[in-house]
Amino acid sequence: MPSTTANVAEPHPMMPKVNHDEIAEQMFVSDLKTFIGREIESGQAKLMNNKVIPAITRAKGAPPANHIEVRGAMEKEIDYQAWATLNRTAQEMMWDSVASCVDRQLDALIEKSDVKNPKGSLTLDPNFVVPRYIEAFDIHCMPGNYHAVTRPNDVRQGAVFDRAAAIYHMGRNGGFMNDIRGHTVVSHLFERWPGLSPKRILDIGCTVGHSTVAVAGYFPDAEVHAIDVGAGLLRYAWARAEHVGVGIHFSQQNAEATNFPDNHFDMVFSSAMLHETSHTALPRIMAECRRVLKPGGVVIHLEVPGHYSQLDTWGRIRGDYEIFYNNEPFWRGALSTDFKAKVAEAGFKDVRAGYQDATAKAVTGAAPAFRDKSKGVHQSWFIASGVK
Amino acid sequence: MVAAPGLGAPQDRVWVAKGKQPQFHSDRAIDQLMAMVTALTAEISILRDRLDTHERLADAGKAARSADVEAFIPDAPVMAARSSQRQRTLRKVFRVLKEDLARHETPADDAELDRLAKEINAA
Repeated sequence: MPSTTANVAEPHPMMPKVNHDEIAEQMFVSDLKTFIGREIESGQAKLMNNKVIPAITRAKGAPPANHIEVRGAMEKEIDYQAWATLNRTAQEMMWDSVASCVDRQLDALIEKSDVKNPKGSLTLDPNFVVPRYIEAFDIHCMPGNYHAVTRPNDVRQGAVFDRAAAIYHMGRNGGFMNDIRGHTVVSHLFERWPGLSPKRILDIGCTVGHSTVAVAGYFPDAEVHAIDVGAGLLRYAWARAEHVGVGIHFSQQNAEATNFPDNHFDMVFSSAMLHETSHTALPRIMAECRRVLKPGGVVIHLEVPGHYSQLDTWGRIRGDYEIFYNNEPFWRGALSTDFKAKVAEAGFKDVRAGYQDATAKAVTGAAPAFRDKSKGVHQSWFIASGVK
Repeated sequence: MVAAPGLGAPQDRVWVAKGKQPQFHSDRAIDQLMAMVTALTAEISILRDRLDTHERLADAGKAARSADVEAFIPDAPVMAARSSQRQRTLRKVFRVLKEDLARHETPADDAELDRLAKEINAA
């Protein structure tokens, strides 16, 4: 097992470096998030069950109609307000702590992104129009979102996202490579279609290529493509992949309508991307995945575990916090969506949905790990998959 | 969203997340104060890590010039010890929030407490 020190100092060459005080600040933010979750958020359900719901019930002689009524009452409680303020503050501090460290070394990162003799490629579209559902909100409260560009050959948003994502997942998603979701996608592929060895693969909504690099590692002879909306994000992703020795073809494209030919890929996947889209975009993306796949090709969509119908009242209020205060406008929509039906409606066959055990290494012939029930956040990932 | 776009370098700009400005307390000033207290706690924690580096360098009989502090790479046990220290600091700073929340562990019955106080004080 690599030491924590090695991961913190230089997990891969594009990762922004940290000085003494920057790592101290970022580790503080990570511990603050853990503290808020374990010691402040954990009391919210008791506040709700022992005070807020009984008060509503007493006042109107009947229990609250839904979680929205409870949320309204919770938002008047000082203990809820303190948790929400602290949670939002920790998120803002996370971005600030990473951005200040990236900005002081941005010139060096841009220089390092000028890869000589690349194996893969980078294709940017100066006329690209960012979809409204991404453009209107800075998702996860990340200032500049996935697509801000501050200068020519910019990599800023990619660098900020990469370093912050590692802090956000607090080591539970594959450390500083943040690649457990990619390994989990391949684990699912091996389990459902053990005979398939894809020659051409597409990752839609790749961000900095966390999952793309992991997936590409299993198929060294495959041609791997990855698309997303931000120029700086993609340049960083491309350089990051090249620096770890993986050639991937990154291009700036909208997953609703790409420029890939029909019947082109053996495997198309997404990794925690669909919940950043919209009800209108979702069927278009499903249809586009089918169009670019060859007959017999497979689609694998990985998403956050836990369906809205399974959430208790606090879980729903917590989800609403993500919508309104962490700029996740499609959170409730995505968690309420029947992805299995959406994949089937797009014309895929043999569609299945369930929960794949999170893994740091996919193995062919492993024990079944695709289940009906989630083992919990970071233990399982929801997957809907099918065949064209 | 980038405010003050006239400024050149990214670090000179004010980066604000595009989206609705939240307000959780009745007065936005309370939200601001909590953000500032939390930021101060971070600064204390950073100082504490720096002090820890100085002490560890001194324990090893090494100099602690700024370059020595910068070159010090904490190993896993040092990282773990610093994390424990941060948990302690967080518990001290946010103690009042934890204690107020702990009052909701069981349903409150203030009326019963008032009745008991009256009974105790009855002649």
